Amino acid sequence: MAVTLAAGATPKLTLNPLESIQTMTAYIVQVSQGDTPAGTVEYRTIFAVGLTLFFTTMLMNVLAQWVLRRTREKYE
Amino acid sequence: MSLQTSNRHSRSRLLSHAFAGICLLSTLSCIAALILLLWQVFSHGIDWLTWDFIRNLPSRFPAKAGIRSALAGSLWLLGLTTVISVPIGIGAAIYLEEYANKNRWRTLVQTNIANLAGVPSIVYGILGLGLFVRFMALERSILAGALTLSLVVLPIIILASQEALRAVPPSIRSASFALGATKWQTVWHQVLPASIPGIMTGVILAIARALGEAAPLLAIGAVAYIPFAPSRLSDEFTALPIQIFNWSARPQEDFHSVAAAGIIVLLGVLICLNAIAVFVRYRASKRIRW
Repeated sequence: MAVTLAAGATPKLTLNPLESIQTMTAYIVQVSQGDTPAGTVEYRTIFAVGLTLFFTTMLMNVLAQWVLRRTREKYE
Repeated sequence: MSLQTSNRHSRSRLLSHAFAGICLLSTLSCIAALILLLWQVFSHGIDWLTWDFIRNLPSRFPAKAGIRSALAGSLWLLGLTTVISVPIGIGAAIYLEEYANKNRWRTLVQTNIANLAGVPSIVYGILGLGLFVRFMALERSILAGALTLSLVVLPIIILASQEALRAVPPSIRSASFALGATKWQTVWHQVLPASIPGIMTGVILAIARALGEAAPLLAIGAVAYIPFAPSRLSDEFTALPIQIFNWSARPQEDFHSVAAAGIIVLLGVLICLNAIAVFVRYRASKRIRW
């Protein structure tokens, strides 16, 4: 949410870092705040976006743990 | 010493100084950011931070707006989240560290917990929306909010508690077993008391994070305008970060100052929490004598 205050909430595909954009987090909040009834397409998209977020972080975590296992030295 | 080697020496010394300088600069930039942040918040908000601000309910008019319902909501969430997540978190940590066999299954669980600790909190928010708000029909209640926040902080508490349990020397356990203590006696009377300071630190850090979370609460449908201080588990609620987010998103300049005053209140609660943690840790660590 801290990012939303600074980066804005404009869903726009751009490579320009100076433009206002929307994060996945902000999108989920925006949809769930709008009081969407369960079962509609909007309601189901936030679960899809959440799943994408989850798998992104999982990939990074697995990668980090792989790097850690390879580089950590055992002293005892 | 030949000219060449002395040259090399002075160059490596220069490099070493430059590196130290860069590191110092990094540290200073962190401190500068903190000072800038505090200065900005206090210069904007301190005039708005009155007794009425703490006591009043939210309002359309900046001059009348207060933080009472958000403060009450945050304190409710804080208490409930602690009560729910701390016993489960410490229990899970004890099982994983003291009881579980080191096999593939434990590695799988461990990897999962480490992964969950890094998942963005909004993901827990939609889990809470689907599970607590809709499926268990808790609606937008304090209880649903506290359960969602408990999910957010559980992995952090488990990992920190595991770290604290691992820091207890194995010789303590062996000595306890050698004196005829059972597994339960060893864990309860030796390992757990020795690891309490570390566990407490982890718990406080986790709870402080829960206090600052807005995204998962917004996802389960907490709204900023609650014209009463919640008094039951099933009441609707708002929390400090949500209220601050809402105020700072408004166009009126005055509301930004009100938001700054809200941030001061949030910082105050955080500092109180940390003070309690330091005190408890000090008391607990005084009792350990090896």
